[in-house]
Amino acid sequence: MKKSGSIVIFGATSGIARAVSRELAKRGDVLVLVGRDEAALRAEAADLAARFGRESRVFVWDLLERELHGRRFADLIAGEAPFGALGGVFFASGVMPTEAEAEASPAATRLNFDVNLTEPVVVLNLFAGYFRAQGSGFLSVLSSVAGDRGRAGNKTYGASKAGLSAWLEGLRASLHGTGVLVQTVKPGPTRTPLTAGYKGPAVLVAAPETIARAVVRGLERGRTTVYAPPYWRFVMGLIRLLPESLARKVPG
Amino acid sequence: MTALSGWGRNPVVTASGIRPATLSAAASAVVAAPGFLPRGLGRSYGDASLPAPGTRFLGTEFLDRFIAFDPVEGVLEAEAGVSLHAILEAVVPRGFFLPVTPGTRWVTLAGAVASNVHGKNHHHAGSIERFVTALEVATPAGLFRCSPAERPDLFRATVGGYGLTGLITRVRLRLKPIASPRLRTLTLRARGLQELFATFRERDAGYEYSVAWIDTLATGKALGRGLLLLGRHAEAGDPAPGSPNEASPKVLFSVPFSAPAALLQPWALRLFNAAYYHLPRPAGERTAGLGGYFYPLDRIGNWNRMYGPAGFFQYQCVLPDQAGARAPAERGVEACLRFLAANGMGSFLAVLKRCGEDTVMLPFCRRGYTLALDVPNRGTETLRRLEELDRIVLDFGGRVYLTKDARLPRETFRKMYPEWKAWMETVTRYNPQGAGRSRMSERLGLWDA
Repeated sequence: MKKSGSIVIFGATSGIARAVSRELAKRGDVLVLVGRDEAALRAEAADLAARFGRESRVFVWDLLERELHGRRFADLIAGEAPFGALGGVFFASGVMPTEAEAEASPAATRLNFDVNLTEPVVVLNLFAGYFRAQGSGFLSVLSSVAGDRGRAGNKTYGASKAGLSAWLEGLRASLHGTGVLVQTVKPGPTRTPLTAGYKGPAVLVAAPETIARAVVRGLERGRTTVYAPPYWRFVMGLIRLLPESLARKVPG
Repeated sequence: MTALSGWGRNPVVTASGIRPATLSAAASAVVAAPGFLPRGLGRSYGDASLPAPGTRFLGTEFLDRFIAFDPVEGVLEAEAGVSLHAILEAVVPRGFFLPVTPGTRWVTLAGAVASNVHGKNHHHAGSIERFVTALEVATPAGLFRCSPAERPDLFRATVGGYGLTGLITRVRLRLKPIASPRLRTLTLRARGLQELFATFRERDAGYEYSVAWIDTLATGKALGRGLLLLGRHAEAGDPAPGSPNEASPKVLFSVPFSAPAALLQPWALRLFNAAYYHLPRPAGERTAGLGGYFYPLDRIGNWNRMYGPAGFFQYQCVLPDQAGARAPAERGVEACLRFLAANGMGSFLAVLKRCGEDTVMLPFCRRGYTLALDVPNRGTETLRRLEELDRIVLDFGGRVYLTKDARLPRETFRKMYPEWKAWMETVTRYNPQGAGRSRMSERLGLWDA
């Protein structure tokens, strides 16, 4: 992977993105932190500056302001132009409604698909075009093991991540041979504010730092799919083989 | 509901709580709806971080941002939940070290302040109180900045205040410049207690850090035999080390589950202590990494599981030099060790350090010695023995460290800490309803003031 070029972090105030940003800044990357809340983004930038002596830039972009995506993209590219080409995008924006919330509220269901699937696809298409033209770069996108199988406990969230994983697989095929890496990241449950409601066994919950190390290692090795922690590849491989009548009985 | 315990894995309570994602969310939770006890990495040994019934915990896990670092002055400002590990990773490569550090990197900055932690340099440097230049504290009475000059009452009640004034949200800490990320260490063997004291007196003036490990099972002339481990920061020109100079040593192995009680049989303890004492040690000074000297136990993940499912107590007391008496601290240490040896209360890790004076409202360290030991939890028998030990400590004017404590009786606490009422008067000025009670605060009857 090319190390030069700034890396754009979407959802930069989220638990996993913060850990990924630290891991990247530690090895010397310059970051553009993207999110909705400018003050919160500045706090993350201050953290990276104090920790590693690295300056990073912040950029406000709300995924739900869908009519502004083209303008935001152009502004971001123009703002970064003086610093050279972009090196890649790590995309971690997302929401996780509980299944009860999603079932009870059409708005929560729509928000889930907008933030986890529709808007990421629209925005990532813009960057895919940029990197294709450049002939280098990466798109590392946070999906989830929840997208590997439809499950009662997270069918809404899981469906949006399944859609995202499928789209990324297609994007990878369409960018094959262009020098652009498309990486699908599938973490298991992770200790972040997003998963505060997680009720499963605690031993299966990984630290965000574990996910971050797997992501950066995956980028360095050009991996197309990163399960994090890696044992999820094995677990989901088995679960995917189960017939639906059995898969239904797996707890969680 | 989550099961929670301190590092001693005893007692265990169930409590519910929150883990706010931002400082402002955390501060408004405490100010708007008091009733949260702050909890960091859960490394205090006893019940200081355990919520009393009806209290919820406020986990500082996600409040882990550095706010600012001035590499010229060496002043760091950070959020409550930043670990000492994270600080070391960031500042050691830039020529700074923690001015005071406990024996593990896995504590949060706010937890270190709330426990007013001390280290192997207490007799020279004091506790962390001397290096905290400012705090921000979310109390039920509001959000306040405080420092030794600004709201000194809140400052002196919060440092070493066990989270009872509220949540420490930000800490500003003055770090220590170091010329090298290495240490020069010297290990000296002492065949008995008097020799150990003499070695302390003669040698530790030349070393900023000193700590002694004691074989608590040795009796007779060998009573108090042990190793004195001295350290000082290397100078820039000192010889390069043979070993990597990591501030954060890798975990060598982790204890995967609670060990069966058989591991803690007296013969195993005797074997360990004798081996540790007699193991050949290099003569003269050697160069070492920071991690190996300051954080040896961090190399063993979950070492607290060694003590089995019932957990253990850590007993740490200070034995002060009192005016007029001849070497009372030394006589106090001797009395404690005689008691431990006579009762077969050996410990894998009995540690002796020198102490200076703390100045916060509820001070632990007094000029003299501090002795710390691990005691497996064997129920009422253990509690009874520790109460006998309390009486010896009291006779010598000493006190027990609350960060380690899970069992000190209320009456004993009040004799050991006569300052407690004045401290609690200040606490209740900022926390008038007594919100966010720890199990410790109820056990010690702090709210009865």
